[in-house]
Amino acid sequence: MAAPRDDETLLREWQQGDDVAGTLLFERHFDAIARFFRNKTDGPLDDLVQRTFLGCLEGRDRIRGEAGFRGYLFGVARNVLRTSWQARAPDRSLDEIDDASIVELGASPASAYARDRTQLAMLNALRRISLEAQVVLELCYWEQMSAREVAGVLSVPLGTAKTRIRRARTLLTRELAAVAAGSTPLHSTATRLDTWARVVRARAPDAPRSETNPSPGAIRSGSHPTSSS
Amino acid sequence: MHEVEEPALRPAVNPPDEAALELTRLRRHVRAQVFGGSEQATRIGRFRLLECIGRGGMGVVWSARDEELDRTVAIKLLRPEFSGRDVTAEARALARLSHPNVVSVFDIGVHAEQRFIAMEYVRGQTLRAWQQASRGVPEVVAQFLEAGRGLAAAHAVGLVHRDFKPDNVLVGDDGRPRVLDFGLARSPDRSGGPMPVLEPGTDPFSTTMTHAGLLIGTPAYMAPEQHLGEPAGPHSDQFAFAVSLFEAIVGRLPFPADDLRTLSLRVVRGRFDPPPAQSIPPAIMAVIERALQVEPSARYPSLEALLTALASTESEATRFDTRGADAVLNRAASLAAADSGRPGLSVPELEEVAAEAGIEPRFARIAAAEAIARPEVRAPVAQATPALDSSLPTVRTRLPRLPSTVVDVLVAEMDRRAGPGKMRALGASTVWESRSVEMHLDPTATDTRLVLSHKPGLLAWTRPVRYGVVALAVVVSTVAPLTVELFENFEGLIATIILCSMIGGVLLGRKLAHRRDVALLERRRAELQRAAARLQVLAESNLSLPVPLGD
Repeated sequence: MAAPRDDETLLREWQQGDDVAGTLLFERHFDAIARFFRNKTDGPLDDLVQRTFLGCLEGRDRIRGEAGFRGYLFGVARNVLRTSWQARAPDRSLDEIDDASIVELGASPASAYARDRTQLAMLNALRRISLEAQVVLELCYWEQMSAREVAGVLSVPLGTAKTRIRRARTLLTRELAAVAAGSTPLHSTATRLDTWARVVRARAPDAPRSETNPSPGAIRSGSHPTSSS
Repeated sequence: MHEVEEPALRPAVNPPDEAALELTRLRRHVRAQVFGGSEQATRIGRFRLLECIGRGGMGVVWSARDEELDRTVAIKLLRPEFSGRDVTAEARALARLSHPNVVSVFDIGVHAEQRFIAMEYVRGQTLRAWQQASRGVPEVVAQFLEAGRGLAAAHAVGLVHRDFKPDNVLVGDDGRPRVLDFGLARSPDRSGGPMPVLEPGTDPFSTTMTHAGLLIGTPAYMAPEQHLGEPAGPHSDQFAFAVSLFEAIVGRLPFPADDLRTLSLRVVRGRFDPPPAQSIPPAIMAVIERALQVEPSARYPSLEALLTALASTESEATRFDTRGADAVLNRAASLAAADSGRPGLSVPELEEVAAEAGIEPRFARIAAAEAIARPEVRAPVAQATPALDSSLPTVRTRLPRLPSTVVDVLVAEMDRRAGPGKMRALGASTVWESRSVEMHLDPTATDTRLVLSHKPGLLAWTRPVRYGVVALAVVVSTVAPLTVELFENFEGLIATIILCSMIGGVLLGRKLAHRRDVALLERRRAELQRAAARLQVLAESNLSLPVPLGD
């Protein structure tokens, strides 16, 4: 393959009817979308991942540049996620779903997806904060999204997104502290979270990210960050 | 899959692990659905993966198509850390095992250095899901008898399950239960190595492994020997079977605990929480109690024997078809905080528990557990001959002669069972009483007489008084103003009306209190019998120890 085309180019080609470009976008983002659902739901992902990409296929002509293709894709994924939890708790509104943690909504612990207890503690803590906070943090952690991209996913202004990231981090730190009470190995998680938070604060939220910290997704796709910044 | 790690930044925030093969299958499936085209098959050997139907600590399970034999199977792919050892011996035993109540194993092999097991695909639900629909006791017992036969058949060919629980039994759409996942992993053995402990964050309802890939078990269902890091034997399956049966009937675990540590301590000390009397037929409870003994040799000699005993309770189970109110409690209530709560017992603590009884810590610890906690009820409950008077439940029995230290143990036990009470000495006798229960220990020349009784007083008094007051209030607030207006000139009459209604209230209260006492009679009697049996065991076991150990 020649030099990889970026998301926006592929999207334009896809919008003009080139399904190969669509497939390339799918291949590029599939892992991240699977990862997005993995810690926020139990059971098979087939339906959720499929609905996300189908939703994207349906709406591809409406995708605009400002949030980038990735922001749009995760926005769809987030809606699919919320709707699927709402189907299990029909008496709740989408806002109430956002405010509940998936553990409150009935998810089981993440034991099947953790390699060691530190990871398990982190995954479980993420499952115990509100769904919106979990979404925000996991996008920051695993997809290395900037505050601007997160704002695109949540469809809120940049300032609001920054506030929510900050609040989510506080919630998670508190959750980890609660777990850590009485068990030393978990303290190290909290410490590393602090380190992580410091590193993140050290870079300007919207500055182009240095490629010394590539995300797994970035390695595969070769075109991140998106041109939104 | 996500092997890219930056030690300083990322370890704490690793995304969840997903099996690479499942990601491949998912990617191909969704691509075919979204962009059309035929789906490229994802395979393990001759099996084409269809759908991910489950996953656990050990690996991922798919439904798959065996294209040679044209049938649907279930395939479990074990994580690499559980795939290294040679399983041929067990595979052969598994293949030999063909039983209607065991999920059949068709094939065992290796795929990309991971072991896989192809087995019978059972359309249906887990026993846990099955029992969550409201089921009568006879139905539950019948289902467990069948599942138990599957376990017993495995024992007969030398296989131990080590992780029996309702999640590992599949109830097919035909209603037949089949036990799943025999001997897939190695359990700790006597060959040394670090003592396996439950790590913080362990989910009490999940199959738990050590990092070396040894199966510890599922904490909520594990036998004391497993909590202590001993190898599991057929007797451990018996214990797990009894825990599961108790949970299915009563609706909660026999050893409820807020965290792993309490759970382990309760299990190794045999402190199970007796169920409400109405929630389970006593004959079935007796079977469960024996299978829950701390010491393996005090359980039934074999699972077969347990099943025989359980089968003989069927007539009682049939008569007893209402389930206790507590049955609605679910597992979340009994162990809610476990995964965020305190960690399990550490090695030093396990050793300490063992040392308490002066026993070498590793692999001699069954005896330790036994020494610190005698089983709940060893003698059949019937041996505590109850002498009942018609209105007040009372249980009389004889204990050996007791030194005062043991008396203290019994008093502590009663404090725990029946709420804190007061103790006083009456001559040589000891009397302990709480709000509702009274215990007399009267030493004679050869033994000690134990009398346990329910106190009549409190309810019989407070109720009438309460009703009298309520009646007075009602009369004063409604009748009195009326009467004042009507009978202004007959002041004596007003007083009479008020007095009469008060007396009426007191009488009604007495009647209701009495009715309630009668209704509770059987239950209280059963509670007292259980308490008496427990005291007897405590007394005997503490006498046989140089230093009595109580709570």
